[in-house]
Amino acid sequence: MKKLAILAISALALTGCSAQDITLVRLAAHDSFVISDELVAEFESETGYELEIIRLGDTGSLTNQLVLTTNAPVADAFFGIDNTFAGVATDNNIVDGEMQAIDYSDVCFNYDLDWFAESSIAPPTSWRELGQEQYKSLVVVTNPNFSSPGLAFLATTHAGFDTSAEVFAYWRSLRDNDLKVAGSWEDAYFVDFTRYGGDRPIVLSYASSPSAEVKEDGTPGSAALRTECFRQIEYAGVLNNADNKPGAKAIVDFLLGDSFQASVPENMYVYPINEAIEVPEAWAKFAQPADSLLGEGLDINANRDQWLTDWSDVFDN
Amino acid sequence: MTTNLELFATTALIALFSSVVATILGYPIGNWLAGTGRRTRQLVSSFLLVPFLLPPFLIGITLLPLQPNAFNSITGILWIIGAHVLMNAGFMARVVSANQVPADQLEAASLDGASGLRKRFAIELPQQLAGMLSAGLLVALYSATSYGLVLTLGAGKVDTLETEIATAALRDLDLNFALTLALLQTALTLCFFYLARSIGAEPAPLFGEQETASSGSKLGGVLSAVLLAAIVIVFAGVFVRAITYGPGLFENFANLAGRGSRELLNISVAEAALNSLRNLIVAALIALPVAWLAAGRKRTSYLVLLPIGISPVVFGLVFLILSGYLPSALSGTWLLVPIVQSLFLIPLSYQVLRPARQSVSMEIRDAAQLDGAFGWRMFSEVEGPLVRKPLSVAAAFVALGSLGEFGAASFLAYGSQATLPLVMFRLISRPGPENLGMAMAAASLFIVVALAVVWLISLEARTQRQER
Repeated sequence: MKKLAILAISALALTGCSAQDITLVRLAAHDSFVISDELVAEFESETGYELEIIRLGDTGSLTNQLVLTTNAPVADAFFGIDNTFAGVATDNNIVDGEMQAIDYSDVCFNYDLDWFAESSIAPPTSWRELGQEQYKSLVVVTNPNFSSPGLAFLATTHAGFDTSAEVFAYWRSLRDNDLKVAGSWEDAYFVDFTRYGGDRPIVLSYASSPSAEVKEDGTPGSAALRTECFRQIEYAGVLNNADNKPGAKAIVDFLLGDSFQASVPENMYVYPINEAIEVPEAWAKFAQPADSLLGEGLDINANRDQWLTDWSDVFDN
Repeated sequence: MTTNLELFATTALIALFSSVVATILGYPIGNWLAGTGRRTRQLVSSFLLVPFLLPPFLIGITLLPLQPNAFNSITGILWIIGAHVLMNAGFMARVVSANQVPADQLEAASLDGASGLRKRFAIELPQQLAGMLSAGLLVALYSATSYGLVLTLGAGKVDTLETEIATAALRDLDLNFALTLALLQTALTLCFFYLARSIGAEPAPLFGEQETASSGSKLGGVLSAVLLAAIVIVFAGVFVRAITYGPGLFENFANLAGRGSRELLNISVAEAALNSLRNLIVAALIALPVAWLAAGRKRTSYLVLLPIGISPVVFGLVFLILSGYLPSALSGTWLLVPIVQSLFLIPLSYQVLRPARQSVSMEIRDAAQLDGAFGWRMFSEVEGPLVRKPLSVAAAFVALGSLGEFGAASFLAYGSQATLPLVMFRLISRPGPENLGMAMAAASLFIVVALAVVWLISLEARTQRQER
């Protein structure tokens, strides 16, 4: 057996495992993170670090992968853990110091103005109406198990009703109204939404999304239901046990800096956390934040598993 | 809420039903195969074995376009069982056709006036039963560890121990619960594996030759034709979709250099394929030498065989937990994936290499040693050439096993280290004709590789026979 052990070890040695080069900074992010090549170049020339971005799936799997690899982290810093998952990060002590809020966005339903103009149906005024007969087969949401806006909307419903029986009744009414559940925001928006060739004129998205739907003549193509929305705040931070903590701090500072902050509306359709940053003109007109919010006091971390189990029970059977 | 018991029962029932149906289907096909001419037998049985050699997740992908859009969990389970049967019926048939009763026994029975049916059930079946039972349990084992297939065809509506291990660990971060389920999963699969081994001695040679007097029934011929047709239709479906889906043939293959529509993937399919190739090389460098050395020992190494009864998902979970305690040069790097893969590729290659190495006679080795051949020289100049063929078969198994491995990689490979099966799964789990076209293009490449491997192996079997 000794022979075998030696062989196995030498096979390992052959493949080479060299120490991390400390000029490298690894930023773990979710799949929707966008940073332009110019901004990467700006960061690298300003700090002398080389930036590697490691995408770890959606917000949930990003957070979970960082927790599961906390003793030997795959990155030095992270971007994209949001307030629905922040509790997981703090409970598991994966962040060195404070998490920094980078951007925010309001999760709410959008509807296709052209579609409703052509049909005889009046557009909804609140998410509470979506179980009504006239909206049958018109709505697409995202699966809260895999998608953070989906989870945000699930939280919204729990904040919006007094008892879980009412929450259940609401979700069942959506299910019976032929609600479509898409795997991700991208799928719901770019595949199922009528503005992109789908057959659902009402889509779970963000208050800021209509700014991307302004037509050539300057009129809006979609509108958001701005009441009782859920505010999602995305954070960045330095990971405990990071190989390159100074580098990690440098990239977090860069994400808070003016250049990156100014880029987030157009690149990620979210509002910069720095209010001094001017948002694009289309945003001022068509992408106002929500009029009212829900669920800010929810303990999402304590309830997530139960909510998701209940939700799956409604939809799987 | 699904209980542990329900999960265990679902997993066990899917495994048992898959195995029973594959056996019922494989038995007449195997008997029919045994009665056909050598050329037909070789051609048909090689083709029937292709699905068996393909990774389960890929079988899932090939069947996915045939699934209805909406279905419930029972329908999902039926699809999964159907896919397992498609994978394993050919393997069962091959086992049955290799376990035929000697011709003189049957002739004696005929002289005594036994009818065809009586010969089949009173003489042949009892003698074939042990081999079939053993193979059936192996099929149950494979069917209880086909995580990628369950994910693909279950569409989130079918919960098995493996899917819940992944959910508990990766979504709920509940490692204790994941480990509990992992213990149940391991108890189930080890049970299948050891029963299989204790009933049948060694698994029947997959590509061997067997002379027999048995004449197959009409039913066997019809079923063979049906199974062959099903396999051809499913595979042809993949090729056709690679041509017709999305932007069409050339674009679909060209897109493999990209990251899918809306930049869905972190890395391109081609980059993922390179990751997989790199993992394959490392896994082979570990698995083949270790299996080689273990196969040369006089006694059977059960320690080496043990991992074959353990689900890759369980391995993935255990190594994910361990990764925090391993040296940092190892944990958090891509190396972990091929190392874990080699753990269950070692027993696979051991089973091919052991009979081969044991058959090299002691005299040859002793003579070579007297002539001063030791260690590397013994391998490269004496034993290696003698067992070149089994060695290449073992290498082919390792290659297919590593390339198609899904369960362990889904725990340990993320971001830019994703493997080919992982990116293919991501492509098919998102809508969009372009993504599906890419997945089908990649799947057809996979099938072509498997066909090439089967062809290579049957070629080896043929030259081996000629040399005898």
